[in-house]
Amino acid sequence: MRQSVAAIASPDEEWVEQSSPEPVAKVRREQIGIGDERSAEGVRGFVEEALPGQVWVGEAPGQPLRLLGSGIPEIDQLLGGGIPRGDVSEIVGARSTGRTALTCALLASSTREGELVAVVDLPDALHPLSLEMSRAALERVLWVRPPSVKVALKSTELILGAGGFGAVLLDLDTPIAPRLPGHVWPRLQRDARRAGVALIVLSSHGVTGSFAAVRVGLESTRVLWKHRVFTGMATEMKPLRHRGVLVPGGCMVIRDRFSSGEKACE
Amino acid sequence: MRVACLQVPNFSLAVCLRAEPELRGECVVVTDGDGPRAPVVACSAEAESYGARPGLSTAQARNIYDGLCFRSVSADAMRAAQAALCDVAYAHSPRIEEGGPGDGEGGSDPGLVFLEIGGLESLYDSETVLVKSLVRSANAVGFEVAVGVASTKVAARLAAFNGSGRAIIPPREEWSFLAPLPVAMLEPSDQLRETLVRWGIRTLGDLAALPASAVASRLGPEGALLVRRARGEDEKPFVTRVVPLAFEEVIEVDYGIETIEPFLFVVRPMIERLMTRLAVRGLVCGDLRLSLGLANRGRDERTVVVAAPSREVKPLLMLLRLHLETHPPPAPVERIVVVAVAEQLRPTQLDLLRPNGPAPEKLAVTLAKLTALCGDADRVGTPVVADSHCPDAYGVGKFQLSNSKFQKEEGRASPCVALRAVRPPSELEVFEDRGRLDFVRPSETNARSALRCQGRVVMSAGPWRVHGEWWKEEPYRRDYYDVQLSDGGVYRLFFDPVRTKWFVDGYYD
Repeated sequence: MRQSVAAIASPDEEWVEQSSPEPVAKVRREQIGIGDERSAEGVRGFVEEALPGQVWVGEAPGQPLRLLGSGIPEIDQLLGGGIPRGDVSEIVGARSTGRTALTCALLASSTREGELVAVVDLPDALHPLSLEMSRAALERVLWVRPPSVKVALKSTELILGAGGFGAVLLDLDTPIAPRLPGHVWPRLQRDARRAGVALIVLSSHGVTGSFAAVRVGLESTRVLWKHRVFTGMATEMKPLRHRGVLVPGGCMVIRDRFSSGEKACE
Repeated sequence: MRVACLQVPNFSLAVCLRAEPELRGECVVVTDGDGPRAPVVACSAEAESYGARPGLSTAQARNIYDGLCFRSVSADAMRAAQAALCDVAYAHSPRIEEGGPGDGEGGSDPGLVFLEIGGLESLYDSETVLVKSLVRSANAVGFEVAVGVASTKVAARLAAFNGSGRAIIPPREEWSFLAPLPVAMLEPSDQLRETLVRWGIRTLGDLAALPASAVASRLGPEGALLVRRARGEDEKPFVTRVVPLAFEEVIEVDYGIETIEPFLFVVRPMIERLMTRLAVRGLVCGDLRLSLGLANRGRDERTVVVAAPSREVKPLLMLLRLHLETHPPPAPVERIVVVAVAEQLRPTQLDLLRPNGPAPEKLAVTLAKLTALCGDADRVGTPVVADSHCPDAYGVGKFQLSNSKFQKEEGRASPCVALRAVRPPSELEVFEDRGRLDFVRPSETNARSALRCQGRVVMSAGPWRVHGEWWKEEPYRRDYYDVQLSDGGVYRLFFDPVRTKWFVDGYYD
């Protein structure tokens, strides 16, 4: 059985053992009254939510954390360097908040490094031109358009199992929120860890529970118009959950480059 | 020159057992056609023990023993089996020849292939290793073969015939091997055999010692030919045959197959055999072509597109199942021809500067499984920006590992808005107020649309007219608008003046 430790992230990112997790675990068990194996995940979620960004419960990382950055300093600064490879990250938000722009930037960065990336596109919403405008090498993008949620999850598992991909985007932002079985995320998390792949889940609301290492929420603060032409949007990135990597969050401006009014604006 | 002979004894029976391996050990009788008068062409050893033998009619054989299992083998199945044998030979040597010295007027002996093995020393340590490899490959495609190696085709064939499966005659020792063999092994005609017996000629050594010209003057050309063969001399030189990349398996069933499960039950071993043949040749399966003979005398031709070449049977069968479930044949199926389009798995040169990608073989299998899961090859691929001015045009290309030289891209990127496509465009109702867009909601016909594009227009821009493809039957002509609604979303709407309807085909995100 794996020995869990509670650790506090010091400023220089070293992991220092502070105390036994038992008191925290006891409190949680008493509060939530669960005695099954799910309680461990419950405890972890409870502690991390109570002290966001300060406490991390789990196995101390043996290897330095590898991050997948977007290659865009403004975004990487908000993400704390990028999203972790070999783990699950989730990007949530409503329409027109810049979620797709953020994921496109991350995928494009991975392809520019020469890696292969995969997009499991349940809503069939990927716009190839948008991805290309993010400077992604499209020939290194595997685009899968599954007909159902079940196939989407199975496809993601297959791609993670194949290995060799730098990042996998699982787009679950369908107009009707998909119903996901509970056992999905531990399996996908395990596969992502094994393959060292950054698994990005995109949804309108949080679906990964406590299995996401990083969950960022995007909120649109302003839509930018110039001479009655759409030119972009200002978005606020909020860290909803982060484990192992510190996500400071903040505001960013996403400019439009190809909308109908692009030429008119110029 | 060194020649290896690959011979399948009792070829028609072997073809039958290859198609139905569960018949091994049974009393099998192979007939040339259907009906009581069809002649028996081959029998298994178990059937022969009951008295069945080639030459009898089917009716006569049925009277011998009720437990005999009768099968007829079509010419197509024989041809496919011969091709499989050629694949085995071609996988070992690029110079192969079908048939042999016994072939008649331009025809060939089925179940017999010669291959020239001179110069293969660097690939195989010895001829024994080569023979073992040949036997192993032949077993993999479903044949039990006899192999003989000698310096001539005649000697190699006699060695295979007499060597209890495997025989290697060292160079310049053919004579000592052939001399004690009986003349009957050369299969002379009955008249000639009687004459030779009357002359006291019993072995090949006796026959070879006779002067060829004297034998020719007394026994004619057949006699001269027999003497040459007895001496181990080839009648014709080795003629190399180029083996086409044709991988086909055929089966005919006695009754029409109407449902998918029995169909897949029949097709599965065929695909397994095809994949084995491809593996022997070091190839992978591209697309699958099906030719179905129907009970109503019709024919149904179809191609099952495979996204990534693979040799995995399971995903291929799944693709086949999905294809047939989507497009079922119009009548029961009585004859199935499966053709595997062979492709080479391109070797990928790893790049020092490029991160490790997935192994090509593993990626191919994954892509095949993904295609089978998604049910359509068009759903798995690489996104392609379509060469069109139509804003919602897109393409899906074949995803494959690129061999092109990788150059890490440098330069500063900046965040840019992406569009999320709505496919197909969702119909809307748009209300205007004093010439300006005012309110948007799903149309009445589309009221149950999952995409709730509804709200008051906060800001809008447009129209931008886009039109093109006038040379097609349905050219597009649209007026595009960028619209910010009260729900916070910024949508891309268009008005189709031809249909006089509004649609949303995406939103900025």
